[in-house]
Amino acid sequence: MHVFVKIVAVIFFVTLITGCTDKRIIEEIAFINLMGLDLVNKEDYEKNRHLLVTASIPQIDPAAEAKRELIFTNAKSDKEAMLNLSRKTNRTIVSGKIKVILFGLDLAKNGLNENLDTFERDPIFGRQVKIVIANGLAHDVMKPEFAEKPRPSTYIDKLIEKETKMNSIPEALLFQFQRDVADDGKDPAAPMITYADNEVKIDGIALFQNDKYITKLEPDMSRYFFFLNGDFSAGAINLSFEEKGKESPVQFMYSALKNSRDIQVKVNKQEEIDVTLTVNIVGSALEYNGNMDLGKAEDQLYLEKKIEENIEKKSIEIIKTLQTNKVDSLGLGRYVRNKLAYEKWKSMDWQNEVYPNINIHVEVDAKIKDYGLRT
Amino acid sequence: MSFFRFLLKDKQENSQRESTIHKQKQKPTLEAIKQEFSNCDDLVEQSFDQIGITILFFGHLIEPNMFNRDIVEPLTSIRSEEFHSLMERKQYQKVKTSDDTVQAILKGYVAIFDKKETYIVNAFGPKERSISQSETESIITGAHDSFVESMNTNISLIRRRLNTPKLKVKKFAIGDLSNTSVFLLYIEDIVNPDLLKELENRISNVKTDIVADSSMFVQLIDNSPHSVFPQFFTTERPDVVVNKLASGKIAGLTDHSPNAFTTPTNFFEFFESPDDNNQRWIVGTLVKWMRYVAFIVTLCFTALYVSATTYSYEIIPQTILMSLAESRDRVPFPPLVEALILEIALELLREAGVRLPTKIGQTIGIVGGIVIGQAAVDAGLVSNTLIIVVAISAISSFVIPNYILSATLRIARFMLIILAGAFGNFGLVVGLVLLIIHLGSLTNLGTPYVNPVAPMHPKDLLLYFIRPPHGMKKYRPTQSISPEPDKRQK
Repeated sequence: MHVFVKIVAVIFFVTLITGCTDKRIIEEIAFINLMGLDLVNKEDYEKNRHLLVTASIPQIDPAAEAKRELIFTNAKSDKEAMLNLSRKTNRTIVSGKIKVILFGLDLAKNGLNENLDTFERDPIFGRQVKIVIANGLAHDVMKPEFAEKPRPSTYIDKLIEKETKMNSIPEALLFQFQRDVADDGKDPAAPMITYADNEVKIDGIALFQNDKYITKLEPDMSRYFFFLNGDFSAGAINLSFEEKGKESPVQFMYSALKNSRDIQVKVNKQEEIDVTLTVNIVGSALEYNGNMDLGKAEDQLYLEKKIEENIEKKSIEIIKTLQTNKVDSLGLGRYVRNKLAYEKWKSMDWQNEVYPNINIHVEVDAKIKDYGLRT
Repeated sequence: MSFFRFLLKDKQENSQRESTIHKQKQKPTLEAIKQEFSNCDDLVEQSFDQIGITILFFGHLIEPNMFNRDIVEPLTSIRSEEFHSLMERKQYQKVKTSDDTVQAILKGYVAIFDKKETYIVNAFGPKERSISQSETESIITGAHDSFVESMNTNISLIRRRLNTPKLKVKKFAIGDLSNTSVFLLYIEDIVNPDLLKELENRISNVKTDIVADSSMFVQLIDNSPHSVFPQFFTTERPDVVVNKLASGKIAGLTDHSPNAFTTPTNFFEFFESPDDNNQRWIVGTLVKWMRYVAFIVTLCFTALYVSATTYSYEIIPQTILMSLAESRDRVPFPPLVEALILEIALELLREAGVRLPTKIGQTIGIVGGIVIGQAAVDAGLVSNTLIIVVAISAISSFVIPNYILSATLRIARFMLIILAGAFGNFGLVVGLVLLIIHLGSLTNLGTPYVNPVAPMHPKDLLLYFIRPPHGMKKYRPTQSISPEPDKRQK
């Protein structure tokens, strides 16, 4: 017979004899958008590995008042939680649309490796999944309902996405986080959010030592962290400094920033490591209420110097915090590793002994690109 | 194919052969001819008693002016002894056999019966449709004339555009009952003689009762009669035919058919419109690409909806997923059934719209638009997203310039929808692969159907996937190229 008839016959039979068990018709599935993992009771966790798993699922029933379904359970793992959670909803729970995994602070302090394993192994989690740390319990961040933010899951996802674009929090996608955990020359950092004063907001940067949460940077310091972290071109900082002839500190808005960073590592004969971070910033003066004339070259230079001093001061502050907490979130270890012989790098304890004691200098070069029409 | 031919052969040949032999021997007497046309009440018999002449003809096949000039006026003004000298004139031909006379009368000749001899004179000229715009292949800029049902007019439309003696016309008579003339047109020196020979072979092997239209005739000479894809390009437009002839293709015209076919054909020709040539080349190219996009959309869009909503929710963006799930929530059917209901409803609408007169056709539009569009969603029979999906794929199917191909894609679309409903994206891909394999296996006159792509001819790709600036069109497609290329063809 002709090929076409054969094709028709094949289609006909496969259609009839097919037994499709993996159907996931969209109105019959509950796709989790936001998943929270919490450690509630430390003793219980050490004994039973019990976690509080909270899932936020968009509600699709137009008759329902709430725009989302919030279900939670105690379970040993994400996979067991799925089984438990499915008893609490009339739809099939699927995790292919998880955008954000929210870890509670206590769980983060305890180390995330064990919990990340399941997300790493399951191919359903794409590279879009973001890791976010809740300052407190993830459950508490997820629980409140806001009239103006009917779907907290979408809100948190978009909030993180926007702030990442503005370079005020680091991007911590699942694979990036795990790559940094595995890298001995860099420690991961993740965005942190909190629920306070009846709103969910960004609460700085969570800094990790390997997979364990150590400390955080306050939101107003995160911009300076980014100056040191790498190249970017977006965002703004607000500086305030003393000026002659002005009683209150002068406000200076340094905007439309374009930053490039360079790291230089020097190892001298005594095997002392010396790291210099060079930061070049170009930006616009958007707001300035001091007495200087921005149109004059010498005044510009003076202001640029002020900016440099300011940023340098804050940067050193950050680096001190990082060094005392033994977290290498800037990935200086990578650059040092490149300078050293493999044997040498392997034999030393970078994180605990070398890193806290090396000399780190910051050199900032700021430029005012433009200052508007008014001088 | 051969199966049907076998059935026909038996019946026709026996009776035909006997009567032919019988007729050829007979002398063409008035009685014998009248016997042949017994019970043909539309045959007109007219006598000129003064000179003892009788004429036979079909009143509806002749043109009154010619009839008056060549028959009525001369025959009424002469005396009987002048008759033979009159018949010496060029337009009158003497016929020897009964068979020839019958054929001539059928072709619109008037048969003149003297006591001894029989003459025929051509007075053919029935009423015919005047040249009008093509309805199925209308264009915006460019020539608006299209073929009509009369062969003379059709060939004239082509000759008017190609003023060269190199345009050759070959005539074939096909159909044991209809005896339809089929003409092959080609430009000598450009045409590939092997293809021409192959086509002539196929045409002379056709055994059928009637040939109604070119679109029907090409199905008798194609390679894969069971394929859903049209294997010969058919068109109503003389300017298209002229373009194809100039690129070395062969055109075929069938009497009483406003369609011409051209060959060798490839799949990508079906996406061309004469408008492309009249546009600026960049615009023409973009429009061409849009048609290819429309082809993919009309084929896959509904199937993709079915597979995404049934199996692969991950590929739908979050925001759409939510509204999609909301609108699907009220629908009692699985996506496959839902899609099939709406697609079939649309096919019914479309078919009804084609058959109905324009005035009632508008009613169909309203019924379809309001009932299917709005009420079905309100009633919770289908989701409103599906309405959009089906509407977009229906609109895309209208973008494809060739009606026959667009109808084919409708069938292929159903196949993909069912596969997508059964196996999800995997099924959709398998369906597309089968479709591509099938397209690759088709041939037209022995040349591959997907020619510039497989086998790959990079220069030809330029002809089919962009509309090159006219100054750059310096070569002809490899598919129809003659083995002895002329100077312009490099």
